[in-house]
Amino acid sequence: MNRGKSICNSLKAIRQRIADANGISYAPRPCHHEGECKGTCPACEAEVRYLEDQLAMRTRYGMAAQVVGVAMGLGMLGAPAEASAQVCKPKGYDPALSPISASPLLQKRDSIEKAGSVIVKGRVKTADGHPFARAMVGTDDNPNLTLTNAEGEFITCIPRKANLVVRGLGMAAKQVVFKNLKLDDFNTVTLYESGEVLGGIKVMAIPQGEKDRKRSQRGAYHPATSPITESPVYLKRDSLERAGRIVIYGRVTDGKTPITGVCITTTTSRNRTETNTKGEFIICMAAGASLVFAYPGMERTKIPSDQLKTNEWNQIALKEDTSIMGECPVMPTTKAKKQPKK
Amino acid sequence: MTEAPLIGIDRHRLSTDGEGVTTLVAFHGCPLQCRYCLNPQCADSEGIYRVLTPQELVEELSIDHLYFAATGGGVTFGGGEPLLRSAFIAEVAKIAPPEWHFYLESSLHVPLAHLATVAPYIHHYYIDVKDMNPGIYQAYTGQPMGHLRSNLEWLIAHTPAENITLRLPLIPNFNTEEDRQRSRQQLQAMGFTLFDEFPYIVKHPTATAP
Repeated sequence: MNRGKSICNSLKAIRQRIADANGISYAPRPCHHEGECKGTCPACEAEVRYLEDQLAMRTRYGMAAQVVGVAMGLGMLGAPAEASAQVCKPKGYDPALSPISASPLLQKRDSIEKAGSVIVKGRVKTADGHPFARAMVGTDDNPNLTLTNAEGEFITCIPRKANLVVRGLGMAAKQVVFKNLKLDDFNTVTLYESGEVLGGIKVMAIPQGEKDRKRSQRGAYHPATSPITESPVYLKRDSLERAGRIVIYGRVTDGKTPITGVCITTTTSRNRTETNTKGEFIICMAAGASLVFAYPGMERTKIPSDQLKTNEWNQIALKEDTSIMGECPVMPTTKAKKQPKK
Repeated sequence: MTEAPLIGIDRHRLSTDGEGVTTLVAFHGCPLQCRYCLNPQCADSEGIYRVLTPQELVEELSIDHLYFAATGGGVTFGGGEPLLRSAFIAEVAKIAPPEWHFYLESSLHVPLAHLATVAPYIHHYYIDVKDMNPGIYQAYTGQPMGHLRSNLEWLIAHTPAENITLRLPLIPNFNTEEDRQRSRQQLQAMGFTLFDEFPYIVKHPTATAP
């Protein structure tokens, strides 16, 4: 294998690690380029931009994006044998859905401690003892490092001496100073109702632990992994349509095969979703807007609402983006070039 | 605004001169005239690849932010002699995302003020010592040892030894294995612990042996 191909494989493995750590649906496109590989190419660069978009979307949804250090040790030539066998990959870790024993942090304890940080794990509960799911766990400086799962459990990495801060909807924020944190055991954090009034509506202390535990038993909805019939858009489609919104659902393929992880946005709002493992999606949009379908290596496709069908399946076939195939001319060169004289 | 002439930007270097994925930023200009210099264009007035401001450089390097952050990588400043552009490097480090690590490849053949300017930002140093014998050093680089020894003393007094790698090459026709081991002993006595010993590749010989 030439050096460029080896670099390419290493970078693919790093991208895979980032995707897995954040529950992003991602599988590198098979590369059929036979000439010299320079380590990256427009198709590889498009995959990086796709991951950046997905991470930005998760951040907007209030989910913690985990990037720092997730691929430590992978930047070694020849290391990423796993990169070329991407088809059957383990399901990505999602802090809100996965048990904390699946956290990638546990494999990186040494490098985390070497970098001056510590791993903290714990359980968040309400005053009546119920686990509190989807609480935001972080520090004073970075309040959104992770979320609690359906059992109210969390695991995160914080700078040594930083205080842990836990926030939950309708609950008063709770700070645990660093010296009181147990580093080798579970920390139990109890949240109490804040009685906060937002916009005239009292935010009730949610019996969320119980509710989310039941929810998790049937599987919490995530657009990348759930059937669209579990989507909040599907469940509320009548009221959305009464409010003048259009609900569009369909299947995205490359002409034959369903494509997972296609990013779908609307041109007039921040609504976003992605296709699930069957290539299916559901999204709500305004009349007159357009849907934009984006996927690495495929042409960005924009379809106005009047060309989309409501109350029946839309079949969306994305075309391969041939403009980014072939040569790989992206790498800047170290070879000196003459500076044009000013 | 500070600008710096570059002889190259090389992306996706994997654990060659820094941890994780790094991008090498190679500066134009060098105070030494090493006989087997791998980048002779750094001393050639026609060898400038681009001239960038710190802001422009950070924007260009940001294309690999995800790789840097995920692997503990970042930017390696080399050249040429990057410390001739110490103010530029400090400016880049100040405006870059905090996840990036910065690595420096230098001969330390510069006044101490340059080293002190960048020291707060550098994660790991790669110092191309050549040889600690003043005669060999001058014969190979065309320059007296000058600031090298005093800068090494300052560096080891201000930086953990584990963050400094000293490169001790075997330089064909200029030093021997014995010379190299003598250099290593001197440097160990100063407190350095990490050494990279390798033979120089003769790509552009500009002189014969002394």
